[in-house]
Amino acid sequence: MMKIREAPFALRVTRRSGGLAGVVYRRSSGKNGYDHLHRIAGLSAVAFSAGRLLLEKGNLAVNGSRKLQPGPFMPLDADWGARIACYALLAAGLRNPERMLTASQHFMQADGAEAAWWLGRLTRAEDSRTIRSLRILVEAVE
Amino acid sequence: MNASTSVRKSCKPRREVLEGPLSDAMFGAEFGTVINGTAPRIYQDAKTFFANTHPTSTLKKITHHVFSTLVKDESGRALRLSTGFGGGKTHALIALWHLARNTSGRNIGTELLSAEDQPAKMKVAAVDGAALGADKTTHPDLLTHSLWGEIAYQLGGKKVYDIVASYDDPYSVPDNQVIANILGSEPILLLIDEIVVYMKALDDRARNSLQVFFRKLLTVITTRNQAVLVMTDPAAQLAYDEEARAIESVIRKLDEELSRKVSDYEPIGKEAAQIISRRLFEKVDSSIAEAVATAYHELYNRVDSETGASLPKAVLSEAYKKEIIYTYPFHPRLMETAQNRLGPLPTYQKSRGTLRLFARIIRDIWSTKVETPIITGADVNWDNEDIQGDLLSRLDRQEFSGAANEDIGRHARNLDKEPKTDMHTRVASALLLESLPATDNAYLRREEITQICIRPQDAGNEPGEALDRLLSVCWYTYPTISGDAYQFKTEANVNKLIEEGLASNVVPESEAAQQIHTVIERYFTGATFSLKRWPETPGDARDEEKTLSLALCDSVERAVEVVIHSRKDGDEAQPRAYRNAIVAIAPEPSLFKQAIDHARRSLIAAKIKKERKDPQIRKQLGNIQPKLEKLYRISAVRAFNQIIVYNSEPRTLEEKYLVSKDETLFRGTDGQGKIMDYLYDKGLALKSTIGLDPLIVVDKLVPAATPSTTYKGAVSCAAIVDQAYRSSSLKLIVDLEPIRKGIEKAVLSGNLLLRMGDGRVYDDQGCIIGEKGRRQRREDLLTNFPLSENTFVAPTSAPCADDWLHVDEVIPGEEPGPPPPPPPPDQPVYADNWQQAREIARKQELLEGTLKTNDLEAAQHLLAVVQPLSAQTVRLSIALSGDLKDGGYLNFSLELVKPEHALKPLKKAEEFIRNLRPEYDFEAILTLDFRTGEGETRRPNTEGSLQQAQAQADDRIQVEFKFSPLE
Repeated sequence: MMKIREAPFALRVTRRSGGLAGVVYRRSSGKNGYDHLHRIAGLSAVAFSAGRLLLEKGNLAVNGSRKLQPGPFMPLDADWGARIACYALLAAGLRNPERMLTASQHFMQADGAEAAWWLGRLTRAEDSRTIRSLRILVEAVE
Repeated sequence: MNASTSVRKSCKPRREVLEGPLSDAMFGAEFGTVINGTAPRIYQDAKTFFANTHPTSTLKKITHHVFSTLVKDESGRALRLSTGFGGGKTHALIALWHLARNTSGRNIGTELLSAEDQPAKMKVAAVDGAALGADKTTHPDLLTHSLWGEIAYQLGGKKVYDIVASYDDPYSVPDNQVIANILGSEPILLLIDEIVVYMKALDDRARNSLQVFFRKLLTVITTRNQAVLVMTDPAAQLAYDEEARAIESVIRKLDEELSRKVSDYEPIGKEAAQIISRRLFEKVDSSIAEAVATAYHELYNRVDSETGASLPKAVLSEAYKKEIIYTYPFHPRLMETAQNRLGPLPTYQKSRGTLRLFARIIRDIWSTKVETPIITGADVNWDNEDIQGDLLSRLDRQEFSGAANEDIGRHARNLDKEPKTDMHTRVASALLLESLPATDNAYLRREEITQICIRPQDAGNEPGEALDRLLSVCWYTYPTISGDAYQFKTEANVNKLIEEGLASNVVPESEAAQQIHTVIERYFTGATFSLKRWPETPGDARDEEKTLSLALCDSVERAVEVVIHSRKDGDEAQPRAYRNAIVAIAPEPSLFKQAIDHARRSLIAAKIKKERKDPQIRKQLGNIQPKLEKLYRISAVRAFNQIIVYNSEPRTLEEKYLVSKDETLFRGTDGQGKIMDYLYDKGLALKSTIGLDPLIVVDKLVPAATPSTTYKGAVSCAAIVDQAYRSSSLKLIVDLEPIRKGIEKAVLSGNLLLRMGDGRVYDDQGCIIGEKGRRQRREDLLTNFPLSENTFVAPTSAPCADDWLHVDEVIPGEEPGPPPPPPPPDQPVYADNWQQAREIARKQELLEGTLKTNDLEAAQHLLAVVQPLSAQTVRLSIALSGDLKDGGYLNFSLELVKPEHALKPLKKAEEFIRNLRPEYDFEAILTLDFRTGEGETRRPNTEGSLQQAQAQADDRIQVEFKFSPLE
C-alpha cells in the first residue's frame, strides 16, 4: 500500500451538510522548495456522490479498499490521481449529477497519461476554454 | 348462430383431417402410385377422389376438351398442364385417369363430366416419369426399356408391345407408322407426368431420342382422330428442381417442341380456396360465412373510422367482404400468405403445402378447442410440434426455431399473462408465419397486423399495442429500415443483445445503482429540503437545525438509523437532537431491484449504441433506448417510496405522491413537492399558515428552552426555535412561521411577554417603549419580530416580568417618545449632492458612490461624468418597464454589469424604449467602488476629481457618495 509521503496525489473525504464531500491534492513544491500536498480542487457533496464509483475505483486500485470515509488523506497514484483531479476540476460549479456521473465514467475509462495531460492544461494559467472543452468531451455539459 | 360463431361450430372437417397421420401422401398426389394401385384411398378410390375434388372451372374445361375429342371423333390434340409444383397438374391427371378408367361407372365424377360426354370405350396409357426406370420397367410378363415400349405395353399388353419390341431401347426411336400402329384406331388417351424426372435419369443421347419421339408422337396424335395427349409442363419444373437445371437446354428444346402443338391449361386457376375447403371440410355453413364476413366488414370499417390509418384500405370494401365469404373459414390474408409468401419456397409445394399446413392448423384448433370466427395466420399454434416441424424443418427454416420457442413460446406468452389476453401470441404468430421466406420484404405492416389479428370483439388498437410490447421484449423481431413494417429474423436483435449483456454483467449492479443515485438526487433537488446524500452512517448526516433535511438512503434500515441517531459507532449511539428537521427516503427492496435491472438494460443499450454501427440495430435502438431510459428513470423514482420520520414506522408513499408509471412529461425534478404534499396531507409537518398552539409554546417550548443569562426567567426566541426542532411533541418544521405565530398568540393571549432587541416589551395590552427612566406604555400590539438571540420571551410570572413591564411617570410638558438613537461611532458618512461630497472629501476617504438618472440621454452620459473619479470598479444597473406600443408589457432589468458588457446594456435599453409608449419607467444607476487593497493610503485630490465630475454632470443625475467614518 502506498504511503501518503510517496503519493503524488491524495484525496481527503470530508463530511458536509449535504453528505460526504472531498478535496483532491497533488504533491508539488511550494515557494520555499519543500514538497507538499497542495489542494487542487474540492468535490462538492453532489460531485462526490456522482463520482463515487470513480473515487472508489481509485481508492481500490491504490489502497485495496473501496471504502471512502472521512478522516486522513488517502494516497492516490499518478494515474488515478490525475483522473480524479480532472474530474474534481471540471465538476466544480456544475449541478447536474447525471452529467457528472457520465463524466466520471469517462474518466474511469480514460488513459492515465491522457488524464495527466488534461490536468496539466487545466492547472496552467486560467484557461476557461480548456475546461469547457474537457467538459464537452466527457459529456459533463450538453 | 351468429358472426362470433366459432369455425368449430360452423364447419365440419373431414375425418382424415382430424384423425390419423397427416402423411405427405394424403396431400401430395403421386400419379405413379395411382397408376399402380398403391395410392391412399382418397386418391385411389375414384368415388372418394371426386368427393374430395372441387370442380374448378379449368378442370372442367380440361375434361371437356379431352373427352369431347375422344367422343366426337374430332382430330387429336395435345394438352400441357402449366404451373409449378402444387398447381394441381397431377390432380388433373388423376381425375382424367379415373374418368377414362370408369367409362362404365357413369355416376362417377359427374361434377366434372356429364355421363353422355364419356366415351363408351377407350384406351388409356398413363406414365409417371418418376416411377419409370431409365433403362427398364418391370411388368409381370416382360420388361420395357423405353417410354414408347411402356406406352405400347399399357395400350395393349404384350401383343401391342411386340410391335415396338425391336425399338425398345432409349436410343432407337420408332418411326411415325410404328407409333400409329401402337396407338391403334380406338379413342386413346395418353397421360404423362414428371417427364423431367425421367429425363434426368437418361444420358444425352437418350434425351435427344426422347425429344425426337415426342415430336413424332405429337405428329401422329394431331393427324388422327380421337387421340389426346395430356402431359405436365416440363419447363415449369426448372424453377423448383435444382438438378433439372443441369439439363435445362434439353428441357427447353422439348418444351419448344411441345409449344408448337399443344394447348396450355392451369388446372387450379384462382379457385385454390374452394379446393382447399372442399379437400379439408365435409361441411361449411355458408350462412355463417356470410355473417362472419359482414361482422369483419363492419369491424374493419369501425376501426378505420375510429383509429384512422390502422388498416389497409382494401379491406374496407364490399369486394373484400365477398372475398371473406369466398375463402371462409380461412381469412383471405392467410390464403394470400400461403400462396404468395410460402408458395414460392422451393420445399413448400404450393397447394400440397397449403393443404398440409391448413390441415394441421384445423386439427390443432379442434384439439385445443380454440374459439375463432375465422382462421388467420394468428391462429397458427407454434407450440404445436407438427406445425412447427411443417413450417420450419420441412421448409428448411430451423433458424427460426429461436423466434418460435423464445419469442412466441416465452416472451409473447409472458406478456399475455398480465392482463390476460392472447393478442401478443396472435401477433407474434402471424408475424412469424409471414417472415418465413426470410427475405427483406417478408414483413407485415402495422395495419396488416391489425387486419390479421383483430377480432370482432376487439376495440381495434390491441394488435398495435401488443406489437409495441413485443418489440421491446422479443429477441428476433426487427423493424424494417423504413421503420413502418416488422419481421422476424434469424439473427438476435437488440433485446437479445441486452439480455446477453445482462448475463455477462457488462454493466455491474453497482454502476446501475450509482446511475439511480444520480437520478434520485436530481429528482429530489429543490428549495424546501437540503439533501443529505447517501449517508453510510448516521454521523454522515449532520445533526443540524437550520433547514429541513432530506436524507437519501439506500435502505429503509439505514434511513431509520439516520433519522433516529446522530451518531452510531457499534453499540454506542447518540440520539438525533434535531429530530423535527430531518426526513429520510429509501427504496422498497423489490422495486429497487427492478429499477436496477431497468437501469442496467438502459445502460447496456447505450453501450451497444456506441459500439454497433449496424443500421438495423441502430434503428431498433432508436425505438427502444428512449423507452428503456424513461422506464428506468420512472421505476427508480417510484422505487423510492419509503418515507421515514422520527418516532414513526416507515410509511409507503401512496400512488398519488409518486410519478405516474406512464408519465409522458417526466422531467425528474419535482420530488420535494410530492414529499411536502405527503407530509402536509398526513399531518406530519407544521403548515406555515397555521400557528403553533400557544399552550405548546408556553408549556412545552419555553420551559424546556435554554434560559437567558441576561433576563431571569426569560428565554430567547432562538432558544425556542432550537427547542422546537428538538421537541417530540411537535411535527416536522418546514419554516419558522408557525413558531412565530405561536409566540405571537401566546403574547396576545396574555401568557407571555416579549422583549425586542431595542428594549420594547410587548404584552396583551400593548407595548412599553423608551429608555430607562422614560419608559411609557403605548397601545401598539405585537405584529412582527425576529426569532433571534436578541428577542426574549418570558412568562408573565417570570422574575424579569416586573422590570420589563415597569412604566415611568410622565413629567408634565415633556412629550414622551423615543429619543433618536445616537449614531454609532463607526458609522460611514453619506453625501447626497456634489457640494457636500466635495466638502467631506477633504477629510474623509471616498468609499462608494452611486449616480442615478431616469433619463436615457443622461444615462448615456454617465460614464463621461465618472471618468475623472477613477473608481476601482464601475457597474451599471438598468431597470426599464412599460407598455409596448403594439400591446403587451415589457420588463427589462440588468444588475451590476460592466457598462461595456457585450450585451451593450444602454443600447439595448434604447432599442426597447423605441418600442414603448411614452409613459415608461426607466432608471439607470452607476455604482462606483473606490476601495483599494488593504494597507493602501487614501487617494489624493478626491475633491478635485469630484469637482471635475460635477462639471460634467447636470440636474438629471442624482448622486450619493459614501465616505469612511469620522476619525
